[in-house]
Amino acid sequence: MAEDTARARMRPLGIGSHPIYPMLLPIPIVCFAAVVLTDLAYLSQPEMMWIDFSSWLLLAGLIGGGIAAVVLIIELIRAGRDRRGPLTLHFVLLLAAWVVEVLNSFIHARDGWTAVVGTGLILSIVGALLALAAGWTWQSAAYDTRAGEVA
Amino acid sequence: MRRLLLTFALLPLMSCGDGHKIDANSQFGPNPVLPNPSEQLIADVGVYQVVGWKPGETPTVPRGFKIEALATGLSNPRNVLALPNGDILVVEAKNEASEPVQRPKDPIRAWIMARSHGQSPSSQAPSQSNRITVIRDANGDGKADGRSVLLSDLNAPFGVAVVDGDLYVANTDAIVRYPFVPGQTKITAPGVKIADLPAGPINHHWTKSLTASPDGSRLYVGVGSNSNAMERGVEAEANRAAILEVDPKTGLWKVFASGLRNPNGLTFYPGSNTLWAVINERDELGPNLVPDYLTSVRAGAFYGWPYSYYGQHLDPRVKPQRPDLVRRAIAPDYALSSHVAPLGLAFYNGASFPARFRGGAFIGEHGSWNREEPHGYKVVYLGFQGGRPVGSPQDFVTGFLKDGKARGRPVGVTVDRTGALIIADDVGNTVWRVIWAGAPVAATQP
Repeated sequence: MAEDTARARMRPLGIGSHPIYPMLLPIPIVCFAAVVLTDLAYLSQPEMMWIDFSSWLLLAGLIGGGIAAVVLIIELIRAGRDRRGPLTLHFVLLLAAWVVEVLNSFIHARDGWTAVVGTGLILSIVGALLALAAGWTWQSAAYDTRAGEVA
Repeated sequence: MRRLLLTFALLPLMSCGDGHKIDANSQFGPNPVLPNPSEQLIADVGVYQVVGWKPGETPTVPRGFKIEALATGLSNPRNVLALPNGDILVVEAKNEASEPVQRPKDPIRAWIMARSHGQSPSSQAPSQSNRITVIRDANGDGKADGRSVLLSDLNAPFGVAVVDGDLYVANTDAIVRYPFVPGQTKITAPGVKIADLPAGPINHHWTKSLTASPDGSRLYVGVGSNSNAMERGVEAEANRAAILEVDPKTGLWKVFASGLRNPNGLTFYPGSNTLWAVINERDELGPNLVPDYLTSVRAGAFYGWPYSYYGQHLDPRVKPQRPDLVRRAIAPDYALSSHVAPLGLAFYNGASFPARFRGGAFIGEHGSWNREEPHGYKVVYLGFQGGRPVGSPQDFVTGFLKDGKARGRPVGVTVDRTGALIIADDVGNTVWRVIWAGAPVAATQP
């Protein structure tokens, strides 16, 4: 009985039998990585269109990432002690990416060159690296879970 | 006090440039101090809840003057034109169209702007706008004898001019001519479109200021930019940020002067062929940049927007730059300080104010949004000598902003046949009239 309860507690939040977190995590990763590309496109050809792309990608990433972070916080609360370690590292990286990209959104709201060049591009790269690192560590967190379940 | 201050003071990324501390008087005149651009992490926003005027409340005028409401209960009066018979035309206007959303920033900005242009909660704001109302004061005692809607269902009108039996109305999308004789209280004749003006679908700066040359042969219309600093792209700025010269007979037009971000208050200096205008300069480069200005407008001149300001000071945001244009950018005549938002200009050609006012300029300053400490929200007086501005602007009509709330905001100004100053107050839904009530003014002052 006790074993069953522990197992249920470890089961991720899901829709039907499928966990929902892997559905949400790619949104900030893809969006924030794409911002680096649209920023670089602006550098090579300073058309406001590229800043617009960056701005919308940032917003989409923040919304997707924000929802993902909420789910992740619930997972953290539900997680057992052995699982919390790898999840926490993953969560910190995702949160850091999110905060950086909030700041980046304000920078990207500027009306032209200074929306990207300097602070904007640096934040885009930092935010993308943090998001990618978050994705990378999620794999470890997920495999740990599976290992725990198997055991 | 529900003042909005969206600042993230705790964020280390906030760039606190040297744009914050500056002597306020250093931004008046022909050579204003221009700090380095300082773009905040979040643009400074200082907008004020609109509360309107309670019965009996008025703006404040200097000692010896008296101010009274000539008309209340209007619907966003933006501009006023005094006719030779004493009638006052009041242009009531709202731009009903909303700008397309290009970036996530746009709806946020639109919300803030709507707030500072918001109608007062009292019942004094009827919904019907976009019309021209005649205010009649037959005996010139400052009390309106009657009011009549001259024209209605216009498209966000602003500029009006009367030339040789015709009334020209600058709607946001076209100049339209109506047969009109001062004294008329209703125009039933259909208007004739003279010329299209740059308008939708963005139509960011929508007011089209209008005046006629002293001989009546040309019209001049101000067309504001479609953006703050060309962030809507260069295509959106075709024939914008410019003053156009229009032949009212043929409707043919050309760009008279360009690089003027949002030109308003187009007025010829009395007794001259010199066109003057007040210009709203760009935002989001810091609280003390870029100063708005009053300038005589030279034919064919380029005044910098968006590439540069005050001559060759480059805007760091605008890329690709246009060194060919910047090279010939000229500095304007007279800085009015940053973010004051001058929208109205009238030269004092009356006789009832004391002699020192003759030939000077009254400027309606709608007031700032891109500044924590408000600028503008008043009508200032600026003396002229030999047809050029001198000295510093003096506060003339104040008290529009009180205890962090906007009772009104001045826009267009004009001088009526009695020499009184007439002021359109859009969010206050009032037209004000200022008279000299001190010692009698000698009639023969130079």
